[in-house]
Amino acid sequence: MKTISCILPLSAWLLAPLMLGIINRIKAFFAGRQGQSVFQLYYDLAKLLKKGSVYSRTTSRVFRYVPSVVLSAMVLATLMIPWGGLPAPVSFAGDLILLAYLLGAARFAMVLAALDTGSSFEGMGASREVQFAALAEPSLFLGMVVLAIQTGHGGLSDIFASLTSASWQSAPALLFLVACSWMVLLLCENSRIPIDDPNTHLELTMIHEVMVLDYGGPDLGYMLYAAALKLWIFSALLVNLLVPSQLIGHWMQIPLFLVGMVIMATLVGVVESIMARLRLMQVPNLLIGAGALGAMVLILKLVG
Amino acid sequence: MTVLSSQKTAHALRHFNICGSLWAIYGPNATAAGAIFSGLALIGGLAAACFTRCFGFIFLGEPRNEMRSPTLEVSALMRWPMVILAAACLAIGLTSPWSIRLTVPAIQCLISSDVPVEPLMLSARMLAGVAVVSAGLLVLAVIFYVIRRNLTRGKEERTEVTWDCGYARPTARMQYTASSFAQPLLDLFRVFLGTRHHGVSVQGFFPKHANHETETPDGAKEWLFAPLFRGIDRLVAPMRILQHGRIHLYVLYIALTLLTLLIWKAGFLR
Repeated sequence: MKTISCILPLSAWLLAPLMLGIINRIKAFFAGRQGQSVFQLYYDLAKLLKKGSVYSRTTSRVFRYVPSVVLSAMVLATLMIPWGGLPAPVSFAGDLILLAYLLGAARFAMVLAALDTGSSFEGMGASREVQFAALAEPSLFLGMVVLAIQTGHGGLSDIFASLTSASWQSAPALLFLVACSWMVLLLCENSRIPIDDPNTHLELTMIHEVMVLDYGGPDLGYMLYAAALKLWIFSALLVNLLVPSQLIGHWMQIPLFLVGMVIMATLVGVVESIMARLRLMQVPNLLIGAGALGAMVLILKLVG
Repeated sequence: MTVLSSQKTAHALRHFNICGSLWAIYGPNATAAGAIFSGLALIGGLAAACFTRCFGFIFLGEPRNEMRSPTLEVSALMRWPMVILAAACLAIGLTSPWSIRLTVPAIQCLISSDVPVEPLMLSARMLAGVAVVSAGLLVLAVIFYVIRRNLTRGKEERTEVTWDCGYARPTARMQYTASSFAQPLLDLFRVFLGTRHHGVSVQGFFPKHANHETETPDGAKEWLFAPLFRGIDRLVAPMRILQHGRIHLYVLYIALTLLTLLIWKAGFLR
């Protein structure tokens, strides 16, 4: 079981950039364009890793260390995500808190790098990032607590292994609300529309993208790959929740999960195509709404 | 070096100690403490904002004001204690399961024997996972950094100005300030903060003068401690009569106190 578990992070590392490719293709389809190849991010990464680098004169060593810290946090986080009914290679009771803090550590490093450039744009992006992250974090935790109570386990692998179709039959509303709350979280944490626009060219309106404006070459490659892994992590959490394990045979669960991931990428692409960006001032309302949803589910669970 | 060690300290505090202690707080009884859990999650997010604001605006970016005298690095005697403290933070974070096990006998002495220490041992076992992953993070970050250095070996590495879209001549004054950084978060809590705004807003097409100042009062000081201490002050003010600066009368107080104690004790003995 342990050896087969190693497939999970390996496939995450290999397939994560593909998700962004699928999202871009869906957006192109909605816009009536041919669109770039689904493998575009792989080509971009290969190109970036071969380039030299340009640094701002203002930056210190902190700026140079950050991409490695961000990437290692994301790589470690993928080691903790179970899927297809298999336990993750790193799994222990309470790993969900560590997962949230690994993501937090990556964000912390990225904000420092943004402030290190001395740019007002990047400072603005960093400010928005910490604000939205502070509001988004409770949704993740509340959802996790509900799942922990529902399944009676404290570790991600155990939680998702115990989430069966029977759990969906017994508490469909609770799990659906957690999924809704996490969907908002996925869009927020991965800087997708309606919270942020990954393709925007106006620094004033950007959040995540503006924070990595001053990176180029291999550093940008690290950052882009880390962002792809982050999208994979959040999508995997949602797919694990929505596609209960033990539904079908063990060997079918892995393909089923991968299909779920493709559907998730499609869903994000559709949301991006049919929705406009929210006004920046309204984003906190959406995030507080997602947190309130999580809190409501928890109260329902504790009372009911 | 000082900056680096401070950064290490901030990072160690943020990631290892807080992560370790939060786990001890959230712990195995997380199911019972849902509300506290989400509150602490929000606090975790706010702590990240605080640390980045604090470290980012003190140590990173361009200097924010002209120094009158040139900055000098302090001596090794001042730097090394900081490095040692930062390393200690890191060490406590990485060895948290063992640190908890070490404190268990001491805790057992302090609390009554019928309180089980088993939950503490349980969290120590869980912290082992946290410590291993944290160590992994450090090792992996170093590995990725080495790989990254090798990727650009022999290639051009230039230094330029920061991305300067829209600004022909960027200056240090254009940097984001700490108060601007915190403003979106503070706006969420404006009901509790009571921030006051003063200044003249921009008017017309070619404004000659505009300024904006904000002032956030210390709520705890203004609304809690100041009235509390004023009340206590008023209550105990009459006692000031006893404090007059005449030493012979102070000696009399001592004598009277001793005499009172003697009579009291003698009374009990009888």
